[in-house]
Amino acid sequence: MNSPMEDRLRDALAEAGETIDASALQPLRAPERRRFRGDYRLVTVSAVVALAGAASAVGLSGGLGGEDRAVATNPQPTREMAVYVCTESAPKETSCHGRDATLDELEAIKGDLTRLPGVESIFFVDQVSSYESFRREYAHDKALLDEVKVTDMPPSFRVKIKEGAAEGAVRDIGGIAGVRSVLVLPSPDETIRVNRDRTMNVFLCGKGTELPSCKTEVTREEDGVVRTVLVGKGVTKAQKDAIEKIAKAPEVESYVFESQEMAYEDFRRTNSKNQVLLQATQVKDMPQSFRLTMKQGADWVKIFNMMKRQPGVARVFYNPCLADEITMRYGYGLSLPESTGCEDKIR
Amino acid sequence: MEVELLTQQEALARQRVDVASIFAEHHVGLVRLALIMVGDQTSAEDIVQEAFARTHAGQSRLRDADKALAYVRSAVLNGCRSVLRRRAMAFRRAVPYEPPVWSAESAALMGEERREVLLALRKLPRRQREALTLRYYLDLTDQEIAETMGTGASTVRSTIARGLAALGRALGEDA
Repeated sequence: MNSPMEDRLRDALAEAGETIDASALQPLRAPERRRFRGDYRLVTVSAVVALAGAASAVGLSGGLGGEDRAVATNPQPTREMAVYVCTESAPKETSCHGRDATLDELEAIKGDLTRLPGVESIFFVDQVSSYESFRREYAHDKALLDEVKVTDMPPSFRVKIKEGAAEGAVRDIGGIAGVRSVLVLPSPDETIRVNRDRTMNVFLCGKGTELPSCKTEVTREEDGVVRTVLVGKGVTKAQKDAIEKIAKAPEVESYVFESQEMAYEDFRRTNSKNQVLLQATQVKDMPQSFRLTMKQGADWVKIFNMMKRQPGVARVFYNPCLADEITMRYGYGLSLPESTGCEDKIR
Repeated sequence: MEVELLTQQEALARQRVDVASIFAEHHVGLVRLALIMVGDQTSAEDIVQEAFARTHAGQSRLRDADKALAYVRSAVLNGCRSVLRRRAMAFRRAVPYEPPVWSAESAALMGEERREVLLALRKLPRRQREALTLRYYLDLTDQEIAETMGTGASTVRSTIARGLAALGRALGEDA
């Protein structure tokens, strides 16, 4: 009873269905109880780790703990450093113990700073003025402004020092009571470089990657009880091919694949002074990644979204978005619980 | 009967496994069904994911485990309807444009003749399009299609007959 029309329809439908590559399908995810995205509560330590990769990707090397160090490719006559002082709102991980720096402590910090050699000028930025300038700078990001209160802003001493002179000495200030963190601010040159950067970093899942995007949910039944177990999986060859295919899109100017060995080489260069970290890190700990340079004015959101949903992709960062986060961290002493990349901007 | 010996909770647990595993088992098939309905893989995957999430959330309300597959298909079909409806309205801007698999832009994916058939299918009224897809892509029986679409079996029969005739006319065939 099969008419030719029925056969044609059957064939056409079958072929349309075949265009889906089963191996490159985004796995199903159970609904999450809590939403983490857009949560701007200010916790430092995890953000430092999240930003470490970002910072080195945009040319600010270091980024881990006390190792913050901006590379002076173009020697500047002076550098600016920020000494953030304690607030009640400071995260637990800092040495602030949940209290504001006292007036005596502030005086002591100021006294120590003035006595340092090579220091050209010091000025104090209080919570209110820091908050005002923060609101001006992030006027476009309502969600962020809603989350950050004036009491979240750490006040800071801004110290101008002669190039190469007292950087280490200023950093030692970090050890005295009432200091939350000491950071070297990116120079104007570096800020421009960060702003011009059009790199999208696509990190791939490794075997032990502890990110939800790398985990597949497996449902098991044990003694009548249903359990769902998350299993982390490394990227497969087929997934890598699919990702590379997106990297060849017309929006992308060029791309390179960075293997674990190359990433390790890079890591060793930027952390050459930290032997402990180097010894604890092995080639297999490094992520593989694709580094895409987007064309000027190209639709990066499209590529970002395609990459993000691709199985085997751990995280996608578009550096221009990270520039914002870096400003928040360096310029305002704030940090996000988890780097959101660009997620919150394109929703 | 074994079913009657289960406590209510055990029965519920069972159904839960059913829905989740049905999705896992039929994932590719469901995405393909959605793709045929909406034309692009991104939306298709989203529809299935959303249907999955929703069933997952409302699992305890699913009473008849035997009908789970029909239920899941209906959920996907509903998702497709929403997407198509949304596209027809002004929201189009918010959805990134991706040419349907059968469009001329992605001609490399499908043969010319097949594309014609799909384009003609796309122009049919919604019910005819759905019934024809469920019949000729998933090979469902009248009864199964009726359950998926929430109509009667005889309606399905007449809808398919009318759909086929319209398709034939559109493609200039005498079938």
